[in-house]
Amino acid sequence: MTFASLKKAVNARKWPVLIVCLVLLVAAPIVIQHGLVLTVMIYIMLYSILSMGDMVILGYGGMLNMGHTAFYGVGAYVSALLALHTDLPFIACFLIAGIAAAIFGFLLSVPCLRVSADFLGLITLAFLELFKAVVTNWTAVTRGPMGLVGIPSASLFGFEFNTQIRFYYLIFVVLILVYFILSRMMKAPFGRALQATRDDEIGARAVGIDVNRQKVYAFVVGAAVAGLAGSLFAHYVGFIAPNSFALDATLLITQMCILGGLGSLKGAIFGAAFFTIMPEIIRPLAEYRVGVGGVIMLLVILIRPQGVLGSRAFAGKGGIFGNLGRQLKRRQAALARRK
Amino acid sequence: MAYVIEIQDICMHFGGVRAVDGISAQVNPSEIFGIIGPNGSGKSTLINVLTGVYRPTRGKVMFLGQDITGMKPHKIAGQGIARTFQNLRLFHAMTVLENVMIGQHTRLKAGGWQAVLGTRKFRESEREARERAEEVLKLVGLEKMSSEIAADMAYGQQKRLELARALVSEPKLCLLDEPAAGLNSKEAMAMMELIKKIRREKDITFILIEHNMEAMMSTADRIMVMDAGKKIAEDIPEVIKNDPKVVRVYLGEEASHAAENG
Repeated sequence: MTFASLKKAVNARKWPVLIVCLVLLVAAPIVIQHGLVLTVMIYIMLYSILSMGDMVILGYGGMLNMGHTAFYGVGAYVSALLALHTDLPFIACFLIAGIAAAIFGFLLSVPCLRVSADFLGLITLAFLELFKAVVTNWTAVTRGPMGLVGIPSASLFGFEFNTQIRFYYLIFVVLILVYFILSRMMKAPFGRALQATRDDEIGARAVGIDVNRQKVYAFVVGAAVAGLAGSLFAHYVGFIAPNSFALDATLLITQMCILGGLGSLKGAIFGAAFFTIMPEIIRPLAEYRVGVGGVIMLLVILIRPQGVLGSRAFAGKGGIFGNLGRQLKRRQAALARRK
Repeated sequence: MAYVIEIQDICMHFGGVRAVDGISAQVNPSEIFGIIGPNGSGKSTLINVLTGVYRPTRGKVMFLGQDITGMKPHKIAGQGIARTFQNLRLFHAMTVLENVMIGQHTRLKAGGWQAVLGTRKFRESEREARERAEEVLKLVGLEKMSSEIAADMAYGQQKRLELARALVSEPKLCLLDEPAAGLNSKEAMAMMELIKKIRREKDITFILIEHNMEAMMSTADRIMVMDAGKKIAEDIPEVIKNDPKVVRVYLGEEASHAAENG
């Protein structure tokens, strides 16, 4: 059974598959009750939310965003500081974190309109470093490298999400909501216009799309989602420090998006699951984790350039197997001619 | 009679290069107005000025009596000017249907929140957009390919897809930059027939750039000839065909003497 036919089979039974998945995920924490497994699942969902945010900017918008963890960090710090210093309920901290990250997304998108591709990567990378420098050195507010401790756990109407299982359900609901909202957005005129902008800016302008506006929106939406994830992270772990939002995490999220498939929200979730589970499975090789990740990325680019769930439109010439297939065909044709 | 578009003394200079040098022209409603000229004569530059890609060095563009000079491309598109490109500019990673649905971008008004909530107004608007897209795809003969990815299609089909994307916005003026370039002569004639059919059915005004003289002569109502950024002739095809200036530009001095003597 090939991958394509598997995909088709799943698509044909969309609802049953979806319901089975949902039931399994809802039942999982009750059935499993294994601390490590639950932690991994929570991190999968956290990274899924983050990657979906980046997918809007990177996958649908085609903009190399190296500053994603800065949005994540803004959300985490804003939410943590509000929870520590004010009486605002968790839900308010959570939403304000998203709004704050969205504002930074807007601010960062403005210089990004003037550049493209690699330069956009550099500007967003600079933004990430800037963010890290500020949270490291503004000790009066952020306590610098010591980080913020004692962040209260998330709570809703007096119900505390202070155990693994409870938090699992909280982040599960957020994940579903984010997926639902983003997938609708990407299928709507906004998502189409964003993808059109990614594919051909001049063509997009010619059909009346305000290209700059789509790019700004993409940054705002992607950053807001990252900010929400940051808030969840802060209230889950209870401790945040500048190191939590380093370049490594940005690269990891980018890897997740590319492995899963650019332009696919499901791909973002798949990538997040893969790169969260992978290091747990190869624990004995812990020291070579980054290397193994690199090899996997190379293989993906060579074998399936569009990523696991990405549209085949991104496959380019189809990687090495595509090349081998074409060579084989050519050789067969040559042989046939000789006969 | 009011002109659809009135070009007033347009100049477009790039440094010392006068790509377009004082062009004026008027296009009537429902007309197919052809522009021909050798490579580098400024045809595409003129189109790019009309659609706002370039801001002209001098001159004015009046569209339905309104000054659109120097407007941004997406604003001009919103006014009702659609176009195709000499080197296709399709949204190659998207499906044929999506490409045509994007063509209606300026007409779809349902906002982002309506999309997220899936309101009836949004679903209605999407359904209409899909139906219009399918209708136009049928018109250009691509109705069976609507779920193909644009990049996977043959060149001739991509050309027709780009035309469909331009038409679906129901523009008042459609600028076609070499719609038959790269097509064989049979395909080229089919493309021209399609354009004439659309003009009959949809009441759209066309400005048509084309290298294929045979195709142009049989399609355009009036033809403007450009050479080195200047207009050297403008008339109906029969007159243009026999204009010695035009023959000289296209075939060189000797041929024009031969034409005059023979």
